[in-house]
Amino acid sequence: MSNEIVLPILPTSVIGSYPKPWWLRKVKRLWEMGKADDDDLMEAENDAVTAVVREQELAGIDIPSDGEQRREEMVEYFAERLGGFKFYGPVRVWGNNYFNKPAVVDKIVYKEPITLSEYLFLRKVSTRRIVKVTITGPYTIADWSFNEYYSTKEELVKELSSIINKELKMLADNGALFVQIDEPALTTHPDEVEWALELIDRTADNINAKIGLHVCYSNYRLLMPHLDNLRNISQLLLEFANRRFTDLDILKDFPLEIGLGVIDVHSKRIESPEEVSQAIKKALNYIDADRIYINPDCGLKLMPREVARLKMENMVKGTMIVREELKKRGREVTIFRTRM
Amino acid sequence: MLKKLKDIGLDVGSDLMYFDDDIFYPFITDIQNVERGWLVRYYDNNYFVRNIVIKSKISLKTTRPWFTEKIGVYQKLSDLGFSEYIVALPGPLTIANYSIDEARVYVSKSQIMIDYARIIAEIAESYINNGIRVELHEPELCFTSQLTNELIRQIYVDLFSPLGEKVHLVTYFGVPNLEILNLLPRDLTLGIEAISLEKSREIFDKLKDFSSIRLGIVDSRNTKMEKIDDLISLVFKLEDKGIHIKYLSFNSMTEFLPEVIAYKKVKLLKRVVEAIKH
Repeated sequence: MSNEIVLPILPTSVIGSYPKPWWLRKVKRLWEMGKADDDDLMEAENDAVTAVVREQELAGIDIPSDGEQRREEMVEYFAERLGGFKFYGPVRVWGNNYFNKPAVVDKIVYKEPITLSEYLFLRKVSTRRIVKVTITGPYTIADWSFNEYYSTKEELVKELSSIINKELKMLADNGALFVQIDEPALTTHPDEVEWALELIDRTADNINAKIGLHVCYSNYRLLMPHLDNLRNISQLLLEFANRRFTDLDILKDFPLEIGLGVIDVHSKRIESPEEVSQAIKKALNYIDADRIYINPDCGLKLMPREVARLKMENMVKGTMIVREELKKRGREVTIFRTRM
Repeated sequence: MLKKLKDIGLDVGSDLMYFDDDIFYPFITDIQNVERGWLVRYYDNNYFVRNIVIKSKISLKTTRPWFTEKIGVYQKLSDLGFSEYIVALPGPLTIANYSIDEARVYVSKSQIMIDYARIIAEIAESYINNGIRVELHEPELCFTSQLTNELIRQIYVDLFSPLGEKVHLVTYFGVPNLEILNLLPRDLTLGIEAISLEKSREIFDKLKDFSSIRLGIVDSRNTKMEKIDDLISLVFKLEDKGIHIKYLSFNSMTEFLPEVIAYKKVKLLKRVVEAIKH
């Protein structure tokens, strides 16, 4: 009997973050003021994860995440839990959005598992066979930090890569099937892309799980010459809705699966199911359905929760339209692959 | 914050772009036939701006709402008593680089640059007439390789050169190549970052020809504090080479730094100036 996991064709997922319920934000504020204790916060976070996982599942998402309910910011969360970082204060990312950019001031040290308890709780509350865990990748942590300690950025990324490899191993050993490495900074410095991709791929060495790589808001063409060299990463998840589905031609002869971003996470306008289905069909001109997963462009955390929910519902409805058409051609399922 | 900066002894005051989303917005609200587009990375930073979608031929709005609002802000700031005031505007090459000609109304990118340059020069002149200097953020000069003599003439010589030293043509994230430096008019204040300059020593000779250099000696993209002695010796070295350093500044926008570090670096900058004066 085969151990293969089968999913509906065009599996739907999220990139990771999802809006936090108002009451979690409130408890977090109370906790910050010392008016709620650690147990109160954990209870609220657990309840929030349960709620947003349920919300994703009700929307029809095949592979939910925990919505990163316990995290504030993707680099900050990991930097706070590793040794060697210091925080001086927030810096602007865009508009009036700021993040607490860390500085590397000493050798980076892996102290304890960071995402394992998140995964174990998610596994417990989700009814889906596969859930997704997201981890900020070594290159983005390095690029989005000030480096006051390591002599080169490459040296810093190497250190982070070996540390995150330990974290991934911990997750896979505990049953995680799908881990997404988030690397939004990957194409920021074109002359660094080659070694950065190599080190990111090395982060997933000897990990028995599906490894996705999420990149967004940048020039994807810089990645294309290097994708054939990837040994561990089987899926690239890219934002396309924000760029109005330009650049889809990169999917021609694409050697990996694509996590197709069909929902703009920076606009409150709710895409219609028809728009989503049309976007998927455009992608089908370049890549087979068997290699496409459907997701939003990026994390949904900046959207109002109701908008996020409606966007996910319509993303699934749009996917269903295409699934119906594929069904007529006898194509209903896809195999969950950990390697290409 | 401006009061604190004044107390340190900073000579040039600005609105610190506190009311701006980024270098392009709300500036573009003064321009006819453009809309805010989608988020794109600003050069090689973890910092994003919304690009500009051109719907039809661009022109300056007669009402200029953003200019009017800014002038009001600067009038209030004048009480703080800085020696000079300066306002940030996008450079025509840089804003053109972040614009999408969706309606395909322009035959070339150069035409977009020229139209932007006309608009920006008119706004710049209005600021200067109100006693406010202008810094044109033009990092694109460090990346482009397609500038022709004619284009530089039409943009910088014809439109900005008449405004003179009060226009700071600020380059950052690198240094313009030698050909571009050759073409730029010498009567503008050229902002150039010292970090990159160190790597391209052959540029020193070109800089001697500029009547006013604004040297970016403090790194606004790393929290690591520079050593004051290194900065002082760098300034002396460049002055010995005949470069007319009129301003010392950060090498790019301070919003890349946490406020506490930016503040420490402003103090460092002032200490460098004091040490040099002695």
